[in-house]
Amino acid sequence: MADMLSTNISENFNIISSNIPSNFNFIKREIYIGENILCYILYISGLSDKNDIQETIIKPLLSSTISASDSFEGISQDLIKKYIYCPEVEATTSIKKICTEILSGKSIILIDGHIYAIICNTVSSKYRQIQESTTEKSIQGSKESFVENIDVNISLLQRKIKSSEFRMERFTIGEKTNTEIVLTYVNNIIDPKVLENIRTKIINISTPAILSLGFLEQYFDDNQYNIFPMSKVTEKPDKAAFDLLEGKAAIFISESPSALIVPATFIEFFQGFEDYSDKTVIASFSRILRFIAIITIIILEPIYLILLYYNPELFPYGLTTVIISSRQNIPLPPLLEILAMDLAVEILREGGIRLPNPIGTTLAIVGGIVIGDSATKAGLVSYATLFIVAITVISTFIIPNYQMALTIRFLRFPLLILGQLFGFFGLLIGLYLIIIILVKLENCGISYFAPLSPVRFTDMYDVIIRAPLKKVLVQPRSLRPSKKTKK
Amino acid sequence: MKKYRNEITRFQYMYIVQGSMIGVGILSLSSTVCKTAQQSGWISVLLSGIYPIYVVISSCLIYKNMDYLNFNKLNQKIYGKVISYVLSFAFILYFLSFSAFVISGFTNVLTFSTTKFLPYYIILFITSFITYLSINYGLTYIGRVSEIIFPLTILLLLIPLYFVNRGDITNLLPLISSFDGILKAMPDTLFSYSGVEICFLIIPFLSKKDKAIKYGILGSLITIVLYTLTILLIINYCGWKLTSKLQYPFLYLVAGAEIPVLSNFEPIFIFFWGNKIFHTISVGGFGCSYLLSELFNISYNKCSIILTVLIFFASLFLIPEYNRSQIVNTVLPYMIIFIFSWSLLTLIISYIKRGASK
Repeated sequence: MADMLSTNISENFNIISSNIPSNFNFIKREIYIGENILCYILYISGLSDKNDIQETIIKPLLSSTISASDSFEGISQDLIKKYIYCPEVEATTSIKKICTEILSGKSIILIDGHIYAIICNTVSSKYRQIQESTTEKSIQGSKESFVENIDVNISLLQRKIKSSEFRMERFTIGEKTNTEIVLTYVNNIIDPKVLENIRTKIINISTPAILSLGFLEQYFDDNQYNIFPMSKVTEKPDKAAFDLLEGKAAIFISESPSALIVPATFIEFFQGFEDYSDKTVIASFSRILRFIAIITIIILEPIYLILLYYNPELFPYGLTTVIISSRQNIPLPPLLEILAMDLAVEILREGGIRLPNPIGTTLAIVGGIVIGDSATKAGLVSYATLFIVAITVISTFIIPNYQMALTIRFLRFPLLILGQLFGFFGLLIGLYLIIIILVKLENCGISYFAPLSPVRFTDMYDVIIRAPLKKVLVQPRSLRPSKKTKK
Repeated sequence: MKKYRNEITRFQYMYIVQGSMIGVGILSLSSTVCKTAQQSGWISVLLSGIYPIYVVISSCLIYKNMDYLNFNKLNQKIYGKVISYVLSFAFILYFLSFSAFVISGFTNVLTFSTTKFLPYYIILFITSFITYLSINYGLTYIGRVSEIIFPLTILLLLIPLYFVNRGDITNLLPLISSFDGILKAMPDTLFSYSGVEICFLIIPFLSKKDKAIKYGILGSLITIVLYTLTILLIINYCGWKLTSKLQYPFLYLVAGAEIPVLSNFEPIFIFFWGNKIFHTISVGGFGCSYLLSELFNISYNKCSIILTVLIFFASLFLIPEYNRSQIVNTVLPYMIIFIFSWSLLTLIISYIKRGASK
C-alpha cells in the first residue's frame, strides 16, 4: 500500500477502498466544486451522520466558487477555511490515517489533482442515552452512568473534575481493531512513577484486538495466572472521579460503557462508594460486616469440613448432638456434600447471569429453594451442611465488587481441598499462602496489599473503619511511592 | 533469575524482631522454668529478656560503628578474610539449626494435638515448602508478611487472658521461691528468645536506620511481655507442680475452656501460633539463605532451595520431641555462648576501629 496520496483521485480512491473491509456501506459521493474540480466524499454509512455530511460538507462545497488558480494556500486550506462548516477538520496526505479515520466514522474529501485530503469529524452521535447504571445502583449519588461514546464519557468525567490539571492521553491499540484508548488522570495528584508505569503498560500492549475493557484489564496484570483483580471497572462517573482524585488513572476505550481504574489495591474492592455518603459509624459498621463476610466465605466451609471429618471432638457437647442428628443416614462424605451444594449454587449463579434479569432472579431463588429442599429431603445433604453453604453464599453478596466476589468465592475451593487433605494444618497453610501471594503482588509500582503491608498508618482511616471524611478525603500515601515524606 | 528485594521499613524491622522469637518455646517454656524456679518461673523469663535487648542494642551499635557494611564485609574488616568465612559458616549453621529446631518442634506439636492423623514427614515437607515460598523473594516480603501476622500476637496474648479469673492467685505465692532457682532457670529460657540474632544480619537493609535501636527494643519488649504474661497465667491456672510435669502447658491451658461453637481454644491457638511459626522459620531461613548466597556467591533463590532441602532433612532427625529436646539442650547453650562472645568482641573491636578511623 502506498503511504501517501497522489494527485490522481481515482488511484487514491482505489487504494483507500481496497483497505476498507466493508464495500456495501462504504459510500462514495462525487461532486464538482468551483470550476469543475472533481471531489469524492467518502464515508461509511451507519458510522457517519448523513445529515451532518449534507449540511456541513456537501451544501457548502456545491455552492463554492473556488478555482485552482485562485488558491493562495492550496485548495484544501481554502476549503477548510472558507467553505466547510464542520467544526473538526484537518488536512492529511497519509492513506493509513485516512483509512483509520473512515473506519471511526469520519468523512474524507478527496480532491482531484491534489495530494491533500480533508478529514471531517462527522461521527454519528446516535448512541445510547445516559442512563442509570444497572450493575452499580446508587442510593444517594448521581444516577448517570457511562455510555458507549468515549467523548461523552470523558465529558461526564470533566464535569465532575473542573480542574486545569485534568489530563487526557490518546492511544490506538489493536492491530486489527485500532481501538481508541484514552488515559485520564489529574496531573498534580497522580504519582509520576505510577503514571509512567501505566503509560508504559499501554504502549507495550501488542494484540490484534481490544474489544472490551476486560481485554485491556488483563494486560495490566503482570502475572496472567493471578486470580486477584488488579484494576477496577466502573460505570459511574462519580466513582471514577473519586479514584482520579485519590491519585489513580481512568482508562476509557471506544464503544465501552465503563472506565478501567488503575492501579487498584486489595482493600478498596471491599470499600463501597456509598460508604462515603453514609455516617461514619454506619459506614464503619458496614465495612466490618463485609470483612466478617469475607472471613466467613473463606473459612466457614473448610472449618466445618475439618471438624466433621478430622476433629469432631472439638464440637461442644450441645452442638455435637445437633450435628449428629442432622447427619444420620447421609451417604455422601462431608467434602462431596459441601462441594455438591457449592457447585449447584455456582451453576445457578452462572445461569442467573446469562438469563434476562427477571428470569435470572427467579431461577436463582426457585432453583436455590428447590435444590436445597430436595437435596435434604432425599437425604443427600444434611440440614447443617445446607445452613453452612447458605450462610457462605449469602455472605458473597455483601462484597461490593463483582470481580473480587468471584475471586473470594473461588478461594474457598482450594481451602476445602487443603482442609480435606491436611485438616487444620491444611487451612493454616492455605491462608498463609494467600497472605504470601497478596504481599508479593505489585500493581503499577504500588504494593497490592497496601496500606496493610507495607503499613501506612495515615491510610488506615479508610480500611476496616471509615473515619470522618476530612481524614479520609486526602490522597492515600500508599499511592505515592515516589514521595517518601508526608505532604 | 528471580528478582529479590531486601529493603525493609523500621516497623517491618520491629515486627521481624518480635516475630523471630515466637517459636515452640511459648508452649513448653513454662514447664522448663517451673522445674527450677517453681512459681517464680515468670521472673526468670522476665529477667532473661535482657538477652534479646542486648542483641538488638549491640547489633545496632556494631553496624553504626562500621557504617552499615553488610555482615560479611563487616566481619572481613574486623577479623580478616579467613576468620570471617569461618564466622559466616558458624552463623549459617546457627540459623539452619534454629530453623530445623522450630520446624521439628512445630511438627511435634501438631502431631501431638489437632493433626494426629498426619505423618510427621508430610508436615515437615509442607512446612519446608512454605518456608521456601516465604523467603524466595527476599527480606522485603518477609517484612510485609510480618506486618500482617503481627496482630496475631495480640490475639495470642488474649487467649491466656481469658483465664485470668479462672486461676488461683495463691499458685503464684510466695512471689520469689529462691533467688538461686530464678537465676538457674534463666539459661533454659534463652532458647525461647533465640532467633532475635537475625538483627546481626538485617540492620543494613533498613530504609531508615535512625531509631533502629528503639524499634528493636520495642519488638523485643512485646515478646518479653507476651512470654512473661503467658507463663504467669499458666502458673496461676495450673500451679507450678502441674506445669512442670506437662510437656506443653500452654496447650493444656488453651484446651481447658469451653467456648461456643468449638469445645476449646486449641484449634484457634494452633491457627494463630502456626502463622507465627511460619514467620519465625522464614526469618531463620532468610538468615541462612542470605549468608549462603554471600559466602559462596550463589544466587539467593538457589540458596533458598538448598536451605529448604537442608531444613527438611535436618528436621527429620529431630522427631520425636525427646530427640529434639536432647539435641536442643546440648547444642543451643554453645550456640548462644558463641553468639554472645562474637557480638561482645565485635562490639568492642568495632568501637575501637571507629575511634581509630576518626
